[in-house]
Amino acid sequence: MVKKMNDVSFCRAILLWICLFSTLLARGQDSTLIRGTVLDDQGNPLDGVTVSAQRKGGTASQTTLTNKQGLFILKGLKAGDVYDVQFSRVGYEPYQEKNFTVRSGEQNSMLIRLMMTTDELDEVVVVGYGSMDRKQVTSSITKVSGKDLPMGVGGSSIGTALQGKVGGLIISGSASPNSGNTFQLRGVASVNAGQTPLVVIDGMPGGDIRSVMQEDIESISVLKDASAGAIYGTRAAAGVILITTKQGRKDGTSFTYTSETSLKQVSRRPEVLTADEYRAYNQGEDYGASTDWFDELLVDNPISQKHLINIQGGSEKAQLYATLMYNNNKGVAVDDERKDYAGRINSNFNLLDGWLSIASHVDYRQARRNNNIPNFQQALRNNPTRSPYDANSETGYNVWLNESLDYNVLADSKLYDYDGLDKWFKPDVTVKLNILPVPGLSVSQTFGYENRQWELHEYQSKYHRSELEAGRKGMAHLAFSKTENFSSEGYVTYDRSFGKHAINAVGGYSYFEYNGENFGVTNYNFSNDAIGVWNISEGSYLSDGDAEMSSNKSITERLFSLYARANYAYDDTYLLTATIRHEGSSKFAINSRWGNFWSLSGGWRISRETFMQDISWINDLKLRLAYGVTGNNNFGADYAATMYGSDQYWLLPDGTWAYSYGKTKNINNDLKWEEKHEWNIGLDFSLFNNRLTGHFDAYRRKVSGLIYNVQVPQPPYTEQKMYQNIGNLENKGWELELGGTVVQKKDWNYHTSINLSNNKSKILTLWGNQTYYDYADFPAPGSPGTAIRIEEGTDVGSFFLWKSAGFDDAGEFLLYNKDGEVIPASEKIPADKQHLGNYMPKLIIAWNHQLAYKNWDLMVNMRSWIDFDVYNTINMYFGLKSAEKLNVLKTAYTKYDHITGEKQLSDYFLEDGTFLKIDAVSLGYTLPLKKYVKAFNNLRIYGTVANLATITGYSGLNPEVNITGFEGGIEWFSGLYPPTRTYTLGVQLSF
Amino acid sequence: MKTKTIIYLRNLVLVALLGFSSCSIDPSYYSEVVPDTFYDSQTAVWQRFNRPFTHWRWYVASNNPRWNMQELGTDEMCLPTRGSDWYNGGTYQQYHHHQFTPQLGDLYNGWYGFAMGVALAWDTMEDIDEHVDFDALGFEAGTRESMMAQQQALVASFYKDGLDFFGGVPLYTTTQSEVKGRSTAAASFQFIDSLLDVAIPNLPLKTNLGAMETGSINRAAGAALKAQLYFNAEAYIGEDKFAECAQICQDIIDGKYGTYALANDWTDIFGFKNETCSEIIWTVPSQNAKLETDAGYYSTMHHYNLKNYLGGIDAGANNGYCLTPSLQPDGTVYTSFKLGKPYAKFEDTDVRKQPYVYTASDTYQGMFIVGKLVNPLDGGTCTGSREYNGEVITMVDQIAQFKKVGSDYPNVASLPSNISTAEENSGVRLMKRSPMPTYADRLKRYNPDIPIIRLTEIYYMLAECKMRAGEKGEAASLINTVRKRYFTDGADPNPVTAANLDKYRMLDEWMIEFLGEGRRRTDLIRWDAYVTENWWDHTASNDPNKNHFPIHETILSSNNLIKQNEGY
Repeated sequence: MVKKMNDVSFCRAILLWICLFSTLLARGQDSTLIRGTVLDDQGNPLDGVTVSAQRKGGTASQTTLTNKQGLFILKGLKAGDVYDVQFSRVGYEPYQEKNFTVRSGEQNSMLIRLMMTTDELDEVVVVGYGSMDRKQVTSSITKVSGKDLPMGVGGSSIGTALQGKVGGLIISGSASPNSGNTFQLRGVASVNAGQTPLVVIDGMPGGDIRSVMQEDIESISVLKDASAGAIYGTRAAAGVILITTKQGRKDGTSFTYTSETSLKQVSRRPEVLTADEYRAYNQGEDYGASTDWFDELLVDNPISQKHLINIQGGSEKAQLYATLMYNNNKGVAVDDERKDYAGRINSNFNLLDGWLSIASHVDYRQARRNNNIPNFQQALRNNPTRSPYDANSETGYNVWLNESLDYNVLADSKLYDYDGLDKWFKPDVTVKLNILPVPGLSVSQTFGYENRQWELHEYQSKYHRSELEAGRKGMAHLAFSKTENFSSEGYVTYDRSFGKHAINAVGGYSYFEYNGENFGVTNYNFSNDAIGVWNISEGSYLSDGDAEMSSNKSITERLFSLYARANYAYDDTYLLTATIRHEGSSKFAINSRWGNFWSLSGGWRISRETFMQDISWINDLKLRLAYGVTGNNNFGADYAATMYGSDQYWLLPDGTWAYSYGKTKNINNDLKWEEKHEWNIGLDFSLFNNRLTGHFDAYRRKVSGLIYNVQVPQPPYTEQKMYQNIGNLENKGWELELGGTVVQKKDWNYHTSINLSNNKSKILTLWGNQTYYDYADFPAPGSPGTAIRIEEGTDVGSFFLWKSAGFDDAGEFLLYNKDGEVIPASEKIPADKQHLGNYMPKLIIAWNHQLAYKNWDLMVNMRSWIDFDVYNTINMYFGLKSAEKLNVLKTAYTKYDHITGEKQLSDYFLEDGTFLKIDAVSLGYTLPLKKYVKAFNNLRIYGTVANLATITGYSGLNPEVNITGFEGGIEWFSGLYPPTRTYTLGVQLSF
Repeated sequence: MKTKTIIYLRNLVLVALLGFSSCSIDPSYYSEVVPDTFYDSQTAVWQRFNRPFTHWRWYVASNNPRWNMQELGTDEMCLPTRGSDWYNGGTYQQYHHHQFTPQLGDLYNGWYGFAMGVALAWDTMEDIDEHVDFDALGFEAGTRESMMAQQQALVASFYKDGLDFFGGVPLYTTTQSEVKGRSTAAASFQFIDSLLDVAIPNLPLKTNLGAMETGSINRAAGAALKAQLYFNAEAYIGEDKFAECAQICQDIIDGKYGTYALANDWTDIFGFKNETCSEIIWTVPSQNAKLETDAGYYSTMHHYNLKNYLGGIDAGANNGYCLTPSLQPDGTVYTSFKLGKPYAKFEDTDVRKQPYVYTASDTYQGMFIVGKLVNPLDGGTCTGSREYNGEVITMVDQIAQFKKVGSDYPNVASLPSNISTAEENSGVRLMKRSPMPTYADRLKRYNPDIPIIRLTEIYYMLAECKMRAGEKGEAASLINTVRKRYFTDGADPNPVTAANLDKYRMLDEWMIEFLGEGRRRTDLIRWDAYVTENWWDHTASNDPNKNHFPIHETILSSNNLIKQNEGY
C-alpha cells in the first residue's frame, strides 16, 4: 500500500517536472511532436500502449503506440496548443495527462507509468444509499466488476455470466434462453419459496435482474451478511445484489459496436431404447417406423445473434451514455426462442456551480418469447416405432388421438403457437443537492418507476390433438398483465474528515409501492385457424356461454421505512459502522406491521499499526466483525385482512344463479416479521505488493420466526394453507475469496481468482403443534410420496427416504424397516423412512483464470461442487421396466435389468453428484486499429465456449441440480431441458 | 441571495421528506371485497351462505376421489390397466386389491374434502352472525335459524363421510378453536347425531310435491342423513340402530318430513329436468353455462371416441372406469363368487339395460354403453384407437386381451382376466348421472342435476331394516315397489321375495339400484362383506382394518395430533 502511494507521487512529480521543463523550453514552431516512454509499475518498458492526444476545444487528435522499448513519438501536434494525452492498454488503469501545452521543437517529452488493474484497495464499493472505499468496508461484500463477466456465454439473464463470481452465491436455471434463474446466498435463508436476494438496480430496490443488459453493468456488489444488508431492512434477509450501470465518459466521445454469433449444441442427453431395441425387447406395439423422439424435439445447431451499440460522451458537467441492443437467442429445443430489444440512456448533469447534480436512467427492454418448449419428458416415453410425420395429413404431422401417455409430442408443440411479449420500462431520476457551505453535506432524492408488462397470445390449431379429441376447432387465449412499481428514496449524506477522524453518515426514508393487474380471455371453435387470437369473439363457445374471461387487480402493496447509517474511522485504522432501519409493510396484519432492523460492525486495519510497518510483504490486513438483523416479508399481500372472493355459481332462493362468496385466505393476526440475526467475522488481506488479495468470511446466522405457508388442519382453518412463523433455522459457513497476479511480465500477465465456500443449514426448533413438515412430493405415475422432511435438529439438505436393501430373486425391491430388518417393499410403512444423504455440497469452488499475452487474452472459468447427493428421478421413473408399454431408458435392460418391481422412493436412486464444470473459455485478440485506420480505436475479436465440459460420475443428465431452498437436490424429469454447450464468436469495434 | 437560495432549497427538501414520511402503508383492495362492505343486500347474505354448498358440490359431485374411494375397491366398479393406459404406478390396482397406503393421493382429498366443508360451514355462520343484521335487511323471521340449521345439517353430512371413511374425526363446533386430535368413533357418531337433532326441526319443509330442488337442505334431507347414520351404526360404532333408522324412514315415506313420491320413470331422476323430480330429496343443482356439474366420472369412464356415438358433443374422455366383468373370457358367467357381476344382475327386460341413446329433446333411454357402438338413430359410431384401431368398438362385459389370442395366447379359454389385462373395449360403461345430449342439444349438457339423496334410498333402507328385523315380506314389497318401474307394465321377472331375500340378494338390490352413485363401499361394510368376500380379481383380505382408509400423510403432516389408523 505504502509503496504504491509512493509510486503514484513519484510518477506525478516527474510529470510535473516534464511539464515545467517543456514550458520553459518552448519555441514558436507550428508543427511539433511529443516523445515519451511508458513504463509499468515495475519500471519495465511497456509496449502496445495506445497514446493519443486530443486538442482542447477541437476534434483533431493524434494516436500512436509504444514500441518494445516503451517509446512513442506523437507527431503532427500544433505548438502552443493545449492537449489532453491519454494512455491505455488492456490490463492497466488508463491514465490521462490533462492540459499539456505543446511547445515548439522536439523538447516535448513524457515519462509515464501505468498501473496494473488488479489493485482493489482503492476501488469504490457500492453499499446501498452511497458508496465506500473498499478499505472502509466492515461487512461482507463482494464486488464484481462488469468487465470480469465473461462475454458470449449466452443465457436468459446475467445469471449465466455471474456463475461462480461470488463465493456463497448459488445460481440455478436451465440452458433454455427462456429459463429463469434462482439465486441463493449463503444457504437457505427462509422456508419461503421466493427467497431470492433483493435486487437493487441503480439504487432502486425491487428490480428485475432479467431486465439488465450485461454490457451496461459497471459493477455488481453483493451484500452477503446481515450487517451489510441491514440498510435494506425488510427485504434483505436473503442478501442484496446491487447493480450499478455505467455512466458516460467525461472526456469526449466513444462508440462501440459489438456483434456476437452463437451456436448451441446439446452436451448430454438421456439414452432411451431405439426403435430396434424396442422391437427386440417386445416393449410394446410395433408401428414400423424408427424415431428418436428426443432428437425430433431438438433444433440442429441453432444460431443466435446479438448486436449492441454503445455511444457515450460528455464533459465534466454533462455525461451521456446510451446503449441499443438486439438479441435473437435460440435454444436447442424446437419452439424455444426469444428476441430481445433493449435500450438504455444514462445521463448525468452538474448544475449551479456544483450545487446540483441530476442523474437519470431510462431503461427499456422487451423480449418476444416463444417458450412453448416441447415436453422432453414425453419424448423419453414415446413409442419409437411411431413416426411423428405423415405426408398425407393436412399438417404433415402424424397426429393420433386418445393416448395421453404416448402422443405426438412434436406435433403438440408445432400445432400450438405461443407468442409472449415481456416489456420492462424503467426510468428513474436522482436529484442531488450539495450544500456547499457545509462541506461533505448533500441531500438526494430519487424517484423510480418500473412498468413491467406481459402479453400472451396463444393459439391451438384445429388439427392439434386436444382439439380433435374434444371435437373442437381451435383454441385462442389472450392474456395481459401489468406490474407497476413506484419508489421514492430520499436521504441526506454527510461525508467529512477532521484530522484523523472521518465520518460518513447517511439518513433518509424509503417508500415502495407495488401494483399489478391482469386479464385474460379464452375462446374455442373458430371458423378458421387464421382468425383465432385476432377475432377472438368469433369462436362459438362465447355464444354458447363456455368462453372464459378473467380479470384481477392485485392488492396495492406498500413499504415505508426510515433508516440511518454512520461510519466512523479513526486514522483510517479503526472503523465502526452502525445501521438502523425502521420499516412498515402493508402485508402484515394491522398490529404487526412495523419492524426494526439494525446492525453494528467494526474493522481494524492491522497493517496500519506501527508494529506491522516492517512486514513489507503485507500491504493491507483488516479484521472485520459484524452483527446485524434483517427481515423478510416475502409473501403475498392478501394475508393482511379478511377478504371475500367468489367461488362458484349456486342457486338463490328465488331460483336465479349467483356466485357464492367466502374467505380467500386464512389470516394470521399473529404473524410476525421473520428475522435473520447474523454474525460475520472477516479478514481482508493484500499481500506481496498487492499481488495476492483475499477475503475470508465466516458466518453464523439464525433465522427466527421462519415464515412458511404451511398446510394447516381444516377445521379450524377454512383454507388449506396459512402463513405462520414456524421455527428457527441456523446457517453456518465460510467463504474464501482469493485473487492473485501470478505472472506480471512485459508481455505476459496471468491473474487467477478462486473462491471456496461451505454452508450448513439446520432446523433448530419448530414452533407450535407441528413436529415436522414434508416436502418434495413425487408425482404420478405411482405417487411414491415425499422425499424430504424437516424436523427439529435435521440438516437442511437431507433426504427422507426408505433405505434400499437390494432386491429379492423376483426383482422386487427390498427395503429396511425401522428396526433395521429387510422387508419386501409392499410391506413398507411411512415410519420406516429415514434421513439419508444430503444435497448441500461440502465444498463449492469456483476458479477463474485471466491470461494475457501481448494483444491476446484468455479467460477460463471453472466450478466444482464436492460431496453432495442428487436424487435421480430420470432413472427412477424411466430407467426401470414398467408395466406400461412405453419406452424406457436403455438402463432398464442393462444396469437395472434385474429389477422387475415397481419403483420405490428409496436411496437406491441417490447418487453422488460431485462435478467439475468448465463453465466458459473465452479467447480474445485486440487489434489496435488506430495503427491502420486513424478514425478507429480498437478491434477486438473473441470466441467463447460456454458450458464446455462437465466431469462427473453422476449418471443423470446434469448433476448441477437446484440446491436452493428445502426441496433441492432432485433432478426432476418434469421440465427436463437438455444441457447445452454454446460457441460464440464476437467482434467489437470501437472508435 | 445565496442564503435565500439555501433556505429555499432546505424548505424544499423538508417538504419532500415530510410529504413522503406521511405515506400510508395500508393496502388497497380491488378484486376482493371486505366483510364490512359486502353485506348490502339479502342476496349478498345468501351468496355468503352458499359458500359451503359450492364446496360440498365439488366434494360430492365434481371431484373424483370421493367416488373412487367408494367405488374402486368394490365389486361393482374398477379401473383396470388398459395397455399403456391407467397403470399409474399401480394406484388403481391397489384400490382393487385393498392395498391402501397413506401416499394414495385420493385419500388426501377424501379427508380435506369433508373437513374443509365443516370449517366452511362454521365459518359462514360465524361471519353471518358477526356482520348481518337480519331485521335491517328485511329477512323473514326465522331465516337466520333456518340458515343455521342447514349449516349444521351440512356439517353433519360432512362428518358422517369422515366417520365412514376414516373412523373417529376431530370434532369442532367453531373455527375459533385450538387444533384438535381425533375423537373416538362413538363420540363422532354422537356429535353428528346431536347436530341433526338440533337442525332437523328448523330445516325448511317441502310442502309442494315436485317443487324445484335448489341444493338447499330440506327437513327430509336432514332426516335422511340421520337415517343413514343409524343405518350404518353397527359398522361405525358397533351398535345396532336399525330400528331407529326404520322409524325415520317410515316417517319420511309417510310424508312427515315433506312431500315426496317415487318417480315412475327412472329417467326423470337423472334426466335433463330432474330438478323437479318428485323423488329427489337432496341434489347438486347444475345448469349449462352456469354451475356445470357432471358427477366427475364422465371423462375418466368413457371411451375416447364416444362423442361420435353420442351425436358429436364435445366431451373429452380417457377410457378408464368400467363395471367389474360378469363374464369370463370364454363368455360364461363367473360362478366362483357371488358379489359383483353388476351387468349380468340386471334383468334382460329391465328398461335400464339397453345402450344409452338420446332419443329426443330432453329424453333418452338406457343406462349403459355396451355392445356394438352404432347409434340406432343417427348411425354414429364409436371407433377404436388402440387394439381396435379404426374398428367400431363393441363394449364387452369381460376384461381380457382378446387381441392377443393367436399370438400370446392359443385360445380364448387361456386368456387371463384381471385388473391389468383390459383392452380399450373391456367392461361395460355407465351413463347414469348427467346423461349426455347430442351436439344439436349441446346447450342442455350439464342441465341434469346430480341427485345425492332420493326417496328410493329411504325405501331400500327401510326394506333392509325390516329384513334384518325378520319382516322379509314387507322388505320385499318395499323393494318391488321400486323395481316395477323398470319393467314394461311392471312385469318384473324376478321380484324380491321373502324366500330369496338374503344378504347377497339385498346387496345385489343395492348395487342394481344405486350402481355408480358412490355408496357401494358403505353397503358392503355394513354387511361385513368389504374385507371378507371375494369378487373377480379381488381376494378377501379378512383384515378388518381395511374397512377404514389410512389417513393421507399430508393430513398427518398438517396436524401431528391426528393419529394414523390401525394397520397402516
